[in-house]
Amino acid sequence: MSKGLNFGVVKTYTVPFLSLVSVLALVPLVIMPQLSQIAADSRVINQNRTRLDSLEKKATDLESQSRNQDDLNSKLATAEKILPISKAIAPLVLGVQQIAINNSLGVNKIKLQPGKVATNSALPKKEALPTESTNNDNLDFKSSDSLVVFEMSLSGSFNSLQSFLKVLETGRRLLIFKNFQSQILAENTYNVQIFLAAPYSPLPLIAEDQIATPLPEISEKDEELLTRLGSDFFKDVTTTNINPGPTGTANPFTGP
Amino acid sequence: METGINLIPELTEKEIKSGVYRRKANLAAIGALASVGLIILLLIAYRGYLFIQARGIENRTSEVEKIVVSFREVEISTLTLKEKLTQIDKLLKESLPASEAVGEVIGAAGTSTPIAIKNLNISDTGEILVEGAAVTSEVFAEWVDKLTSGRGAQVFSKINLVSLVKNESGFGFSIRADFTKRGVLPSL
Repeated sequence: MSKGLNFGVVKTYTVPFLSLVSVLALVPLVIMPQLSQIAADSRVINQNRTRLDSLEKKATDLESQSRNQDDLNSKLATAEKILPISKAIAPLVLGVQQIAINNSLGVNKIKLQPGKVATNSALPKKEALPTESTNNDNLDFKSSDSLVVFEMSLSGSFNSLQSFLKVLETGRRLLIFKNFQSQILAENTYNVQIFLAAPYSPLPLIAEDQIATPLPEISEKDEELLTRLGSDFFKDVTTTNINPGPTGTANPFTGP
Repeated sequence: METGINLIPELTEKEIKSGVYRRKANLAAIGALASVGLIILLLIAYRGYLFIQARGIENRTSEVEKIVVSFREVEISTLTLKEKLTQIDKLLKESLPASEAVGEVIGAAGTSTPIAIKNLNISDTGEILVEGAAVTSEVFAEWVDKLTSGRGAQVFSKINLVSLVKNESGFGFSIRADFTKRGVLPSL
């Protein structure tokens, strides 16, 4: 009798054999993919649940914040005066000029530094730059996206300059001192070249998933700062009284 | 005499054992297969449960998103306010109090015979360059003393004498120093 494959035995164990093959096939082909799919689904569900919790908290916060909308608007107005949304150059320049005059300083020149250059081709060629050299050539002041840098040329005493700077520091438009250089003209009279920066704050950029980003909390420290910003310590430095100039006529042929 | 006929086929012990094993093996195999099937069914059912749960979260999220969007003006105002306050706080705390720097230099120059300040440069990093003239070396020493001791020591650091030249009217000097104070808001 052959000692090789015994078909009798195979025939006897057909059912267990097929079952074993089925189980061995089902585990990697069906069960494992199902398990990994369940793990992935659970992860997504957990993420979505976390996002939902964050959204629900934000909705509650927004709802309670909206009940104090007037208060929020008034706080925003206070902050806006200190750090406006736009450059608002005209009232700023006129306001600062007025403060200098009020502090017995002569204003010789106010010069706005150039803003951001849109393209490289718009940059002036080096040889085309004015050859006039000043002591400020080494100063690296540029108006950035959220900073209006301007230069003032003033004349007066150091005491006047000090009180002028004091008013600017507590001005209800934030002005950052950048640099000044002074040279004596006569006894107690100096020619002062001062660089100031007026920051402004465009609308905040939104996050990738802004809708689920938690609402920022206005902390006690922020409230305290707001109270100080609204107090008499800060004085208005910008002016809104700007002469609009001649407006022309509707029909230039008939006159005014 | 009666004789019995054995109609049952004679089975060897081996054959009996083999039958029992086969039955048991078949049962075990079917049981294993059924268990695997049951596990698969349970997994499918659990996936169904997860699907329903995900759908529920999705629906609720969509509802809450609508609520959040309806308050967009409040959100923009709050965001803007927070960002402005953060920037204002930073700028007020970090900027150089130039008026104080000028005041301190002028104050220190108030020596017995006042120092004549000819040039004064101050940068936002706090670096101060003073060029001036003192009538005598004693007055110059008094000026240096005022910068380096008492109030001066609190607000000035890294005081360096850049140049000192004797001329007909006294001593011409140039001094570089760092003004260390930052922040324009008085502390509460």
